[in-house]
Amino acid sequence: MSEGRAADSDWIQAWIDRQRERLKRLAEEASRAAFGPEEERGQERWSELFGRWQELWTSSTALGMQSWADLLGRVPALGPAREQIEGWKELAETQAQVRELEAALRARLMQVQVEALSRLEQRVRVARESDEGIASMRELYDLWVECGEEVYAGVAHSEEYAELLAQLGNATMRLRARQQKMLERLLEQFDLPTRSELNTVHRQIRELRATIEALQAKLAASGKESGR
Amino acid sequence: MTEPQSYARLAREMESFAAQLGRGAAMLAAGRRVSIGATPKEAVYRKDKLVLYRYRPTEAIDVEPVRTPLLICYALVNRPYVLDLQPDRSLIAGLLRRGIDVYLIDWGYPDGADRYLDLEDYVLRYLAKCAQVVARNSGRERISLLGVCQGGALSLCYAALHPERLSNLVTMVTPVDFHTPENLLAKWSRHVDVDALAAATGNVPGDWLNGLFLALMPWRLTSQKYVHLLDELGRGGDSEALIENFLRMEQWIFDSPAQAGAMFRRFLQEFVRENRLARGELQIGGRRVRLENIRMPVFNVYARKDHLVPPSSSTVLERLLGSTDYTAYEFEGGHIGIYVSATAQREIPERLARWLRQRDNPA
Repeated sequence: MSEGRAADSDWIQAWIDRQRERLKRLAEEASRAAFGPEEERGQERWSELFGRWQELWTSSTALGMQSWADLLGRVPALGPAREQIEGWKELAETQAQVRELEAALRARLMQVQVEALSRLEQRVRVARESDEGIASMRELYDLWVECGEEVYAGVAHSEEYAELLAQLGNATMRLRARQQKMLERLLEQFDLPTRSELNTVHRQIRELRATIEALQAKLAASGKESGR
Repeated sequence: MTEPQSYARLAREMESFAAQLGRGAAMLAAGRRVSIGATPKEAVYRKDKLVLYRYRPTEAIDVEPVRTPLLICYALVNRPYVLDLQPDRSLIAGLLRRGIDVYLIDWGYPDGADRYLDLEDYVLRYLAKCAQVVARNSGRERISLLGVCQGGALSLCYAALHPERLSNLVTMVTPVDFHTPENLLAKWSRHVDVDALAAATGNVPGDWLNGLFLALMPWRLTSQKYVHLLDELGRGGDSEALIENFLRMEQWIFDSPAQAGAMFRRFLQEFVRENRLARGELQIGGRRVRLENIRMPVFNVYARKDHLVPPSSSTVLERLLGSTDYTAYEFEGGHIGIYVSATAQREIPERLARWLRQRDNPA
């Protein structure tokens, strides 16, 4: 870069200010998404999903349930659709937990970015005072990455972060398991194979193979003995 | 500078950097597909998804062959071709040139039918059978075994349970103690509901593991390495070699097989969370894995800057073994550099081959 190092900090500070603005904007958007229109859109998506489920269910079982999605939130899980209602309720609860934990993780990572920027600002100041300066965008970018990784490493090694990650992972697994359960019910209605059936078959195959291998080994050993 | 001046300078800096990256991106987009693998090999044994390969040197070898063959047991995570990526980046070619007879286990890509494959299958069936085939092929009673990363942990298990089948054991970037303070993956796994994970996923998708590995150093691994590449390409230089080398590594990093569900659950629970290997409490097929049973010569190679398997996780091996012939070598690099960096190509095959040759038994 042609301009001297002494004046570097001005354009660098301008870049840092811009990044800070960007983070602020992102944080505001995330906050709106968690509690605002996005939440409503989420509800709409659930209603749509419930509607589709209802169509499939009524066409395949002729139970003639009406306004199933609306009822879900208001009626206790009773009668012939008890299991389904319970399943959907569980699914909706777990989905909400996952979203909440995702938002917590995003907030924590946003905080890392904010702290990284402050650390960068401090490093730039130190560099300027020691007359070293930063000569290019690439140098600034690398220093920013270094600061980001340092701040992140501190957070990533903390017990609190490990717990948050695990909670999110565990909730996601619960959600997945409940989705699978609902899907399996649907597949059974159409007499289509399910993962549970395949698991049974795979487990049996594995046991049979182990038995065959043990018998083969026994045969080979007795063959050797009789050949002596 | 006044405020408008500093913004004008910022705009110029960003424009210049973006232009440089743009030039790099254009060159990268024009790059052709890369080929992987350098050394000819033949399949000598197949079982389920597993293939055992024997490698052939591409040139005449002017050194006395080492009689004891070497079986390489790679990790279940990622693919073993990183050991033979291209002619000038191949640990396998380097070993062949130095007279080592090299075999390698390719575990393949497990699918839904493999979800119940367990630790016993990998150590007592697959690895044991491959060791037997290599021994029979070479007419030797004992062979040398080289375990890489997770494959090193499996090799330690095998060596502890069947020490009579091995002449030498080499472990490379191998985790042994999972509870050292630097081990981030172990920390993250502490509160994970392993049973729920195994039940909900069946096999654990490779993409999930990739996400986890990227999360160890997200700024460097998801952004900086690409920016550096584009920046360097934008500056000119040997772009073809740079692009090809980068793309080969990129292909390897994200070519990630799923992990057989039962095996993954067992590894995560018993190795990572409960640290049973280091504590001498691991059981395989009803037998306890005692590392003190390993009395053969052991060569332990680890990387000083390894962010996946910290050196402290590997070096603990020395005090857990029963062997009196223990050699450690600290490589000045990271978990991936140890396979592919120029320094690794110069140092690792040379040291390994020398060590193996010095311990090559006549019978």
